[in-house]
Amino acid sequence: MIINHPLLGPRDASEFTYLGDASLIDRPDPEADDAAKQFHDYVYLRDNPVGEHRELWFHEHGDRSWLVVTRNTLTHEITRVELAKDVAIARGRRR
Amino acid sequence: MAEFDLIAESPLNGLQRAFEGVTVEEVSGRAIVSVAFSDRAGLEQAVRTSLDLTLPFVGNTARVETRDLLILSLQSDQIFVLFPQTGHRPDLEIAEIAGDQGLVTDQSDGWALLRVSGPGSRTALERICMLDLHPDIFTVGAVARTVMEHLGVIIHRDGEQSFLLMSARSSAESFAHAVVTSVENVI
Repeated sequence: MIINHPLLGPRDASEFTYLGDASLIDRPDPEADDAAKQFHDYVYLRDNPVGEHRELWFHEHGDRSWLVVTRNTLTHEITRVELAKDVAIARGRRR
Repeated sequence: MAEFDLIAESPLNGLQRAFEGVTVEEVSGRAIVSVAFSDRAGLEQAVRTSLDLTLPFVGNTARVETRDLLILSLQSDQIFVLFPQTGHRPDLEIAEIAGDQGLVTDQSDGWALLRVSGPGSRTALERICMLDLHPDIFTVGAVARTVMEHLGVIIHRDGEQSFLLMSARSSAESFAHAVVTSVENVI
């Protein structure tokens, strides 16, 4: 499997490690009233889609960047690769 | 403090192997300094002021001929600087350039360096390197961090037919063995 890195171009998947669902970027606010419930969901609950899945990959044997990869879990086709940093900033995070 | 008169040994003991069309040789005597940074614009300004240089983007390198510096842009928040080692504190020489814009560490003794050169060098590397090393894609001056034979390697094309490889000193002999084996497989 080849991941087309936004900065570096196509790289073999063996250079990366896989973390999981990209929703991990949306860490709940620990000060919220229902923080315990939100963190329970954040830590334990995952969708297990057949088809398109947004997920976090780390380019460990490369430029050490985190990526959000949109991959089809049936075909392994990768339709989009973004820097996780850009995704996080777009969602209002500082970095 | 006691005075010692010690002679440094290079990680690969001066390895040099010549094959038909390919030479594999250790490169030693280079200081390797890492500069990590969080504010790219800040470091760019510092480098422009002290070296009159535009900081290369990730995957590219720059040379400063006057000071014999080779700058490898490895990732969006880290560069390596290679230059002839003359003193014991190469990190301080680079800290002077980076000012307060970079976190500087001396990694000179952490890496083993190999140069693979000659008309057969790209063929020699194709079995071990997953990157596309075609000169139109991996151009002269390009640099990348990748994996070869399960070992982390920084590869830099420093000529049409010349590649500089860097890998961790702790596994230097395995790395050299892997590269030499890769050459022997195609020659």
